[in-house]
Amino acid sequence: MRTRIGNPYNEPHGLSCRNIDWVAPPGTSPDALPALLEAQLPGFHLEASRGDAHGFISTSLRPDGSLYVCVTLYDFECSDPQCQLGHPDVAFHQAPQLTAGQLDAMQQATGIHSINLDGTGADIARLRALGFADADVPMRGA
Amino acid sequence: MGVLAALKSIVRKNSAGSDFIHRRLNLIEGTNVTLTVADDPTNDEIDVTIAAAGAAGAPSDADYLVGTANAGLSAEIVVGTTPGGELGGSWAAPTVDATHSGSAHHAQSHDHSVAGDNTALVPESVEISGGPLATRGDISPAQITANQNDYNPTGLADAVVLRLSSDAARDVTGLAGGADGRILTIHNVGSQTITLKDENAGSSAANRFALAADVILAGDDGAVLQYDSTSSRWRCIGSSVNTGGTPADQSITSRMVSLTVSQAEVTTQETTTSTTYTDLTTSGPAVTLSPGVSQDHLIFVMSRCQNSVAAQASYASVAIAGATASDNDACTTGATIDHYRMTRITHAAAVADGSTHTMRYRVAGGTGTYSFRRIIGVAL
Repeated sequence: MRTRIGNPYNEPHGLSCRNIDWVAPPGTSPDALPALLEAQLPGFHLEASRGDAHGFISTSLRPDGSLYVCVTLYDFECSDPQCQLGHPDVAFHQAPQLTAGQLDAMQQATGIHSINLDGTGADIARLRALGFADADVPMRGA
Repeated sequence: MGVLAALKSIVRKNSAGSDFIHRRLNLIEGTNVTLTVADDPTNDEIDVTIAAAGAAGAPSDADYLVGTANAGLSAEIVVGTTPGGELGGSWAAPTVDATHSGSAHHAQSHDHSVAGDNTALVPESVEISGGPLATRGDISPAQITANQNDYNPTGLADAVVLRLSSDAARDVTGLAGGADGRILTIHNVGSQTITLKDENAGSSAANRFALAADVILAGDDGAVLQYDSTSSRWRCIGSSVNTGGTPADQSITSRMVSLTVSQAEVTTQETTTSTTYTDLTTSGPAVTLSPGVSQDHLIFVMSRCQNSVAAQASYASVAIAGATASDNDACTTGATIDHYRMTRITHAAAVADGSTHTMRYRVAGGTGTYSFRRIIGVAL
């Protein structure tokens, strides 16, 4: 698991976010992730069907069946219903800082693939091994 | 015979001449003369009245044209015994002098150049009932070897056609010699590109071109310009090239059409729960269109997509030339079943050359899943 500060997904507010990513083993269901991860982070909303969100989840199914997971947490607030960036019914909340226990809990909830990220320079080679190219989001800020 | 009868009269004309002596005098009415004879016994006389029989004579104060002055006339116009001015010969057979007679005068009336007065003909309208129609007066200036500002080659003032060539791709930012309504045809007779620059500050304002876009004349291309004195600009009224502007509706039949097309695809299955448009983990796909000029673009985006929550929409849209993506340009599904959808085709007007269009994604709620994302861009 690693954490990057920035806006690698080009979120249109253009503000910095916390991006926590890891690799889950084959068979992990993307659709199940919001509920699974929110269970580890009480009070967080990682999908917007309840009208607010602290961030969002992105995944990428890799050729070997593993699932790259990235949780992007907002470090800003935007509850303006007139915001021109396309979330009129969803308030964005700044996410609280996560504890080491919460970070680990998320990883444990999905499981950890044999190729995982640790925030070191070796991550570049690991991401390439998973099939990512230099222009892909996981490489940004790595 | 009585005494009286024995008397004889003596008649003489004008108090001179011969005396005629007879007993009887006969007064005879001549032409246009009437005689009236009346007896006046009281005075022992015979009255003879002589009168003119016709109308009165011609007036002496009429405007007669006469060769020489006449004392009996008061308002005559004396024109001389022979014709004068542009006429010669006699009144019986007048002639016209060389300047105003025959083909020479005809030619001068229709050729206001060398032999004429150099005055432009300004007819209300011109109708040519038969051909051919030719505009001569072409000039072939020296080859252009640098970009030209306020271009003014020798002979431009009298030229109708400019035959230009260049040693490499060159720009012309303006042209001298503008006068209201003047029409000038430019031919690129070389093989290198000559570009007429739109509103380029390299030339003085009155010499610039007002064009929809730069007119790029490849070899053997041509353009017809007209000077608009109201706006003090040369305007293009026709060319053999695509100016890059938005064309009017046109019908193309049996012609080859060259379009700049680019497409890209990402097949990887990826998801997002973002409610604002973001990249997916493998960003894009994206296309960059570089037709060489600003043009309208048609952008097609398509993707297999679904959402984890029934009735929550998943959107796949496009950030046109780096702008924020919009639902208006998105293909969308609100189903939990994997759908292959193709968006409405987005028409982006006058997009800058080299612009990149990138697909972006969002959901209204739930988790949106996308795969086989494809974008196709066409520069028109």
